[in-house]
Amino acid sequence: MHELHKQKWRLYALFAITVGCFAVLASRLVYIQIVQHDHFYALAQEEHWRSEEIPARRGTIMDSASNPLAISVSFDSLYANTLQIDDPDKLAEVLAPILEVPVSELEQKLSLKQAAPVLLKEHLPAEKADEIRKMRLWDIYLRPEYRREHPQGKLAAQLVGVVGRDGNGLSGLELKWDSDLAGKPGSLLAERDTGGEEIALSAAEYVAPVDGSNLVLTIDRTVQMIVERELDAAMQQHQAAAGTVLVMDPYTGAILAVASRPGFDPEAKDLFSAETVPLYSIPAVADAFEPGSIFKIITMAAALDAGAVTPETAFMNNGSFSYAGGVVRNAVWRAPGMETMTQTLQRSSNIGAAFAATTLGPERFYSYVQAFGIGAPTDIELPGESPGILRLPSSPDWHPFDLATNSFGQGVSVTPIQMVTAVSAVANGGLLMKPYVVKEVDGPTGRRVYHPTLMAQVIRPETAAKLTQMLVSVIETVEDGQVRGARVAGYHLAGKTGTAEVPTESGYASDRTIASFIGFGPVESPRFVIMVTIREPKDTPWGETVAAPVFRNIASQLLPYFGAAPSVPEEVQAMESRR
Amino acid sequence: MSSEVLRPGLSVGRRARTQLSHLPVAFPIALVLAMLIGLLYLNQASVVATTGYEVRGLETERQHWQIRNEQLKLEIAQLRSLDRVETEARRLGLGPPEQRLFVTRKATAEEWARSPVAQKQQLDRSSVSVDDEQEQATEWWKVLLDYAQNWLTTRFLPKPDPGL
Repeated sequence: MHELHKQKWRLYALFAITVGCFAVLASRLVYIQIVQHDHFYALAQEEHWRSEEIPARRGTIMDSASNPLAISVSFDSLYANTLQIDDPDKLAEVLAPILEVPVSELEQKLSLKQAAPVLLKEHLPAEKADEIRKMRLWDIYLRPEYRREHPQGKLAAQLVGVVGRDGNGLSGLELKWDSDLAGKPGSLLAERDTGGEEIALSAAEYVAPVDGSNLVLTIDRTVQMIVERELDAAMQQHQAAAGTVLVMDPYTGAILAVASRPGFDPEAKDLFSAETVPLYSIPAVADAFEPGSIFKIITMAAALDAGAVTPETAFMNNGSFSYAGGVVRNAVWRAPGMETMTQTLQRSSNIGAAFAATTLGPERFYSYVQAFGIGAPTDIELPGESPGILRLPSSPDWHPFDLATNSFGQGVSVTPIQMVTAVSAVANGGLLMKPYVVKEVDGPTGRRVYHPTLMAQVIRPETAAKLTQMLVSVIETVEDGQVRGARVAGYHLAGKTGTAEVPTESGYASDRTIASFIGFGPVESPRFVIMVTIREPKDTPWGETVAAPVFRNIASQLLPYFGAAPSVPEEVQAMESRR
Repeated sequence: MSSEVLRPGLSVGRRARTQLSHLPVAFPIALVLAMLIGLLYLNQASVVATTGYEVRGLETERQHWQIRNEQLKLEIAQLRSLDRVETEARRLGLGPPEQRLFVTRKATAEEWARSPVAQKQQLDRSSVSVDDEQEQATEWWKVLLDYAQNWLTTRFLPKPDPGL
C-alpha cells in the first residue's frame, strides 16, 4: 500500500514537471509569438525583404560650350560580407596585389565580424573591377557608386564648388543650385534569397530615381584658362596675398570668367581639410573691399550725367582740397594748377574726384551710386554674396566729409561683381545689366533658360560715350614718356587704375595696398569688361604696375579670341614685326 | 451517374462495389496526373528562376557597360581639356602665331545678329519707354534726319580721335 502510494506520488510529480515544462514552453511561446510579435516580425521582414536606396545621378555642370566642368561618374566599389568569410587571410593575399593595398590592412578589414558589408576599396578603375569580377569570389561583391569628377582639373574650382562625402553641395554652384543638381533618389524593396541576393522575378516595389538637372554656365573655359594663368603669373611675380579677376560681357551681364587665388584642387586629398575649407568662398562676390580710384569712374559718370561737369570742366588743383572740415590730398603730392575732368581721371586725382562729387552734391551723388548697384547685392546666383558697405546721408554715422572721400573710393566697400556690373553700364551705353552665371538648367523635370535682364538705364548714352573717351585717354596718354601698363597695341581700350590702402582698426595700413584695374574694350563695340584685384603685392603697391599689366595680358589674348578686329592694324603688325 | 440512368435496377451496395472496382485504375492515374502537375510546376518554377537569374545577370552586365560608357565619356572630356590639348599641341611643335594678318569682310545677317553692336541696338530698343516709342512713331521726320546724319557721319566725316 505504501509502495503504491509512493508510485502515485511519483506519477503526480512527473505529471506536474511535464505540465510545468509545457507551461514554461507555452508561456515562452506566447511571449515570443504575441508579446514580441512586432519585433520578430520586423526581423523576419528585414531578413526576407531588402530595402535599398538607389541614388540619383547628380547633374553635370558645363561651360557655355557644354564642356563638363563637374560630372558624376559611376565607379565600382568593392565590398565584403565578412560574416561568411572562412579564411580572411587567404582572401586578403589574393586581393591585395589587385587593390594595391597592404595585405595586413585587408586582413584587418576581412576579419571584422559585422552584419553590414565592409568596404574594401572605393571607386576602382574599370580594369581592376573587371579583374575582380572574373575571379567570381564568394562573399565579395562590386557595387557601383557615383564620384564627382572634374575633367578640366582646377579650372573654375571655386565657382563650380565642392560636393561633400554625403553627395550634397558644400560651396559654389554645387551649393547654390543643389536642389536642381541633386535629383531625387529612388528605392527598391525586393525579396531576397539566403545569399542576400534579390530573388529574380519575385515581388518587388521599384521607384526609379530622378536624376539631377544639368547646368550650362555662361563661363567660357578658354577665357577662364587665360584669366587663371595670368592671375597665377601676377600672384607669383608680386608675391601677393590674394587676387581676383572677373570678366563680364557688358551687353548681357553674362560672366565669362571668374578666378581667385589662393585656390584649391577639387581632386586633392586634403579637400575637406581645415586649411582648404576657407578657400571655398568666391571672393568676386563675397569679398567687399575699398575700391580706391577705380570708383572715380562712378563719380565721374554721375557728375557728367547730371550736368555738374563736362570733360573739359577745369578747377584749380593746388595740392589740397578742403571740404566739410576735412582736407583731401592726392596719393602722390602734386599741384599742377588748372586741371580738367579728363586730366582728373588720367592723373587719378583725388582732389578732382572730390571737386566733381561736391559740385554734384550729396543727394544726387548717392542717388547715382545706388543706381549703379553699389551697396546692394546684385542677386547673382552664387552663395555668400556681400552687399558691400555704403553709408548714406541718412545714416547716423555718415559725415559730410564722406562725400569727398567716397568720391575716390574711400569709406565705401564694393565687391568685384558690383564694380564690373557698374562699369559694364558705361561700356554698353548706360544700361545696368543683371549679372548671371547660369544660362540654362536642363533635366528630367524640364528646361529653364535664363536670358539677359536689363535692370535700369543709369546714365544717358551720351554720358557713357563721353566717359568712355575719357577712360580711353587714361590708357593711351603717355606720361613722362611712359606707355601706360594697360595699353594693347592696335586696339582702343578704356580703363582706370586703383590703389587702395587696406583699412585697419586704427586707420589705414601704410604697407599694404589693394592694386586694381577695371577696363573694357574694344571701345567701338566692347566684348568684355575685366576687373583685376591684387591684394597686398610685395614688390610695388600701385595698380598701374601690378594690376594694369594683368588686364593688358588678358585683353591682348581675348581680343583675337573674340575676333575683334584692331582699330589700328598697322600698330599690331608693326609690333609683331619688331619681335 | 450515367450508370444509374442506364441501369436503374441496381441496388446501392452494387453501385458502391462498381465504383470501388474503378479505384485501382483511377488512383494511379490521379497519382500520375498529380505527379505530372507537380513536375510541371517544379520545372516551370525552375525555368522561371533560371531565367530570372539570367535576366539579373544580363542586367548586371548592362550596368557594367553603362558604367564603362560613363567612364569613357569622362576620359573623352579629360582628353579634351585645354591643358591636355595645349600639351599635345606643343609636343607636335605648334605654338602661338608670330604674325597676324587682318582681313575684313561684310558680316552675314546671322553674324550681325550675334555681334555686340546688334545686341547693343536691341538693348537700346528694349530700354526705350512707351512715351519715347510714341514720340518716335509720330515724329517720323526725326528718324529720317537721324538716319541721314548717321549716314553722313559714317561716310564723309572723319572719325573722332578715340584717344582724346
